[in-house]
Amino acid sequence: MPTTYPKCSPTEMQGLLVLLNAHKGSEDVARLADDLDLEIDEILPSLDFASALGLVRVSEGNASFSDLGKRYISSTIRDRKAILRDQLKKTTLFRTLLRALESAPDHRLTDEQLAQLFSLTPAPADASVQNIVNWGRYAELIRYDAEEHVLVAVRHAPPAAKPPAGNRPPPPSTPQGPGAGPAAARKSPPASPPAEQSAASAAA
Amino acid sequence: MPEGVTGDPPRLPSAARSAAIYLALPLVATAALAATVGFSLGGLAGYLPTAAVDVSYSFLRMSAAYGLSLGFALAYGYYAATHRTGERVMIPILDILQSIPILGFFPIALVVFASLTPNSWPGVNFASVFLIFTSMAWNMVFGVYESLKTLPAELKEAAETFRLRGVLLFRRVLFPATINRLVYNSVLSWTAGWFFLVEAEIFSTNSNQVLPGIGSFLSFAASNHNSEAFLAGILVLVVVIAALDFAVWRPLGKWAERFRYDTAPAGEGEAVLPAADSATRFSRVAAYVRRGVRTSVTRISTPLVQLAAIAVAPARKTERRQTAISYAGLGLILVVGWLLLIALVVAVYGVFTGPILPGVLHQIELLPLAMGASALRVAAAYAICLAIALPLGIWIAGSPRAARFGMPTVEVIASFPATALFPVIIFELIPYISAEGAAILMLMTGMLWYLFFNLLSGLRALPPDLDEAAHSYGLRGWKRFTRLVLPGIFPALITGSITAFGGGWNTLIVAEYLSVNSKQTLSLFGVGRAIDIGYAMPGHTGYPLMVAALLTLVATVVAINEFIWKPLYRRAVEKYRYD
Amino acid sequence: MALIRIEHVDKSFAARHGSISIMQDISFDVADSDFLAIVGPSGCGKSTLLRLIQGLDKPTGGQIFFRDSPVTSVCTKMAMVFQSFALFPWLTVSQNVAFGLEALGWPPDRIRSQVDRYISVTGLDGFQEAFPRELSGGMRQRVGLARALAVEPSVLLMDEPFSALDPLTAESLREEILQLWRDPELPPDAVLLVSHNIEEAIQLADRIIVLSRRPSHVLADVHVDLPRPRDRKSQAFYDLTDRVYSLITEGGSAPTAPPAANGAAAPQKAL
Repeated sequence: MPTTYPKCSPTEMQGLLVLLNAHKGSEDVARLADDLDLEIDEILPSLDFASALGLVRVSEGNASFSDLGKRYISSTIRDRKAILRDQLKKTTLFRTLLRALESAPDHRLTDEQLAQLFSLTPAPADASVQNIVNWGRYAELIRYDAEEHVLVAVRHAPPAAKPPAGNRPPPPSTPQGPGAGPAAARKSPPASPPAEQSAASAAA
Repeated sequence: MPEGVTGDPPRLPSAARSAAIYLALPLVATAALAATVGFSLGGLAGYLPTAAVDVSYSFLRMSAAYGLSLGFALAYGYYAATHRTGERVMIPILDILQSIPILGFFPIALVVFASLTPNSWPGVNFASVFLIFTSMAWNMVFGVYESLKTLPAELKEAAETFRLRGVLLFRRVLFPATINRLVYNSVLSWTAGWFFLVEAEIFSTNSNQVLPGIGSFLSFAASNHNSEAFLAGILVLVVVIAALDFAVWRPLGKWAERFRYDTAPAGEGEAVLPAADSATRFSRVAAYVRRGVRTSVTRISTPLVQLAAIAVAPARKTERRQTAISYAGLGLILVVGWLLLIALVVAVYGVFTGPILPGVLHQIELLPLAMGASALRVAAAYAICLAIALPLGIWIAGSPRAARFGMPTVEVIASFPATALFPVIIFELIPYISAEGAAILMLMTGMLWYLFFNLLSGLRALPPDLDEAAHSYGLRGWKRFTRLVLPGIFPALITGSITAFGGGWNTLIVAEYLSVNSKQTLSLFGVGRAIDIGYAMPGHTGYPLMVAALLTLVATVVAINEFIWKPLYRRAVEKYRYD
Repeated sequence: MALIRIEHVDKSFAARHGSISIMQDISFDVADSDFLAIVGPSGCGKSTLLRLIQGLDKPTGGQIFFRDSPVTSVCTKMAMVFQSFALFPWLTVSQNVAFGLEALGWPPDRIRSQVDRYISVTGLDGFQEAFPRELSGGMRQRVGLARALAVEPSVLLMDEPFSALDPLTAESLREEILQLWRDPELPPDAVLLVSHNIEEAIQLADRIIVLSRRPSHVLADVHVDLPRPRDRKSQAFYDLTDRVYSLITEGGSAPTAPPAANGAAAPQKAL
């Protein structure tokens, strides 16, 4: 896998996946952008990184979910993080970064050292360093000391080591995404039975 | 959108440069003096312990005044910001207090505090702490008040939605909201504090109630032409100020960054700003001063002008005419008020104490003339300051390399209280530049930095696209200056002038008169001298003169603010605003 | 029992000459498990209405009830998510999330576990010790959401929560909101969303209160009975968007018209 640098935030990339899911998991890239009144180059960074993480396949101007992408979009917020963590660890970018952290004294790297590692212009001129840091933080692969501008390695415990938050229900496993089907649509019984929903839509 | 990891720009290089300059400047000054005057290093070292003891007296006074200011600022600012009725009275009062020459109060404070304590020693100290307090407190109060008033509405609302009250509200929201401004204004307060502390101590050598401290130490050293002792004093003072800067203010300033709430929207932080620009504390402080002056200028005009408008022109007329009438009314009120107050002082003194000496009465009659002489002196100093500050500002704003070395140098020089050099100006330089020249030089030290820092921030705020446009139309040199630069910095020039004149009035009291150990070396006709000799006259015979001179000064300052600066300022803001 | 009852609420602000009426005779109920959106043209007082409901501001006329008792002061059974996030820049993410719990006087160890839980739920793990200025807009709004949810409110009030975000981030957070809303273990019982984005309202809410131009009144109470996840491309979605849009444009042009809530809402209700 070639080194691809994130040029988007995790939340932003997830937005692209949500958008793709709304288009039944496969869509022309230009139409995707059009749906949110965006220019193509506004969704390209998210698309690039999603495909670098193996969540999305792009071919001939068409984007579609990989199996992993389908699993991602139908998972809970916590499980999605775990997927990102596993995928990020496989990227050249984070393999290099984590190895460098491993061998660094105290397992710490400054912003400048990080920029040097990837021959990037150091912060704050370039957002790349900040983006890498934030992805690493989000996936809990690294910690970051914003006061000293230092990355710190995380001896990562397996995700199960952390008690799950609340008694969360198992994620709905339909590839169509969370909340597929009327039963999952509300926390309490839906106000109108499914049969009438279509009737209402038709009436409208 | 990049997930912005923003933070403060690296400060270390700037700190290292400042440190180098802190070390280099005294060395250069020492070497220069060594070449001209001649002294022995051993002799200098011998004076260090005494100087250190004296500077610790000064430091204690500063700390006491700062503690008082801090408590006062938090209480007053908090109350004014949270109580609407209190605000309506408290803020105008503060505005007026702020525009009165601080040092003018010193002789009166000396008299009052000395009369409160049977032994004059604590009285003098209380008076000097009070004086330093008045130089520190106002801008800190405004810092607290304005941070609370400008706290974003949704933050207040967020606290409200969770029903945060009392101590928790103060600890989690209100106090943190004030910290950033409080720290930056504190830096400014300490700089002003040192200036007036040294000035007060020098002033005290006019009488027999001498304040032990670095100012009086320097004053005595210079009056004895003892260059070793004088240099030892300067050295100790520089070390103390530099140590405070590195050990207290820089770390505090860095920590205070956390409490800024004017965060840019997500993704953009000040990380994009060139580091050289934001690294300079003083330019930021200057911006605060500017903002403070701006708000207080617009605010102070309201009560006074409105008062006049109510008194003189109750009916609506055309805008211009109404303004003219209200200004005329204000002028009348000022003159009549001034005359009445002086008459009152003279009458009260005559009734309760005894007849006023004819000599004193004569001096009181001469006060308008004296005021004119002083005003001319301040104006001359202002003109020279402008001739220095403007080119210097353009040079530093225009070249990054000049900024890299020029800014820290200017910062360090500006943080040193120029008053410490007054004795040497008075006792060594008068033969070369005449008494008048020495007075103007001293006034300049009290004015230059206000003007410079305001002009600099104005120059830096010039929109680059305007400059580019001017460039593409071939606007260069003098034309560029008159068409682009001058209009662009006009508001900054006005605020700089207001603060510079304020500094000038404050310096008058030492710049026109000084006698140490009855060696009267400086005495120039002016209102500052009138205050001094009124205070120093044997017995209480000079007090009417002192009070009358002070009233004259206050009336003049208020008049100049109201009639010259505020109209100019309002025009500048309306006409030359580009934001 | 209705969770919230809004009865004949008027609101006007004092102005230089007399007063300006913001809303007139607003009435509707919010039921348990309602995800209700309030839409209307800008300046119609949507956000003001939200503040009246929580008791941050008082109505000039009429009354608001929460679980049958009148709202007279700030109601801490509701929590607000702000358009501009309204995070305290001097508090870390954890401290911001703990903010409301501290105000409620929870003991520190309970606060800690509650904060951990909601940080985890909103996907903020890894940013506990970060300050808001280190976060992107999307992450900041997650903190705002975690702070509101942590007090386990009965009603979550959201004031244009996505309008300060870029479109992809907003899309992302809308989906997460629905995910959290679906979870029966998590608060709240009802959500009130103020939005100027009609598509967003239809995508998220079960009911939409359509307000008119100022002085605003309820134009319609529209039930959204489209199956989830809602397909923005579907004809039904289009039609509904169109209907709400024309309600706003037409209703707004005749501000003197009497409230038309019942009439307009009737065909859509279909129950």
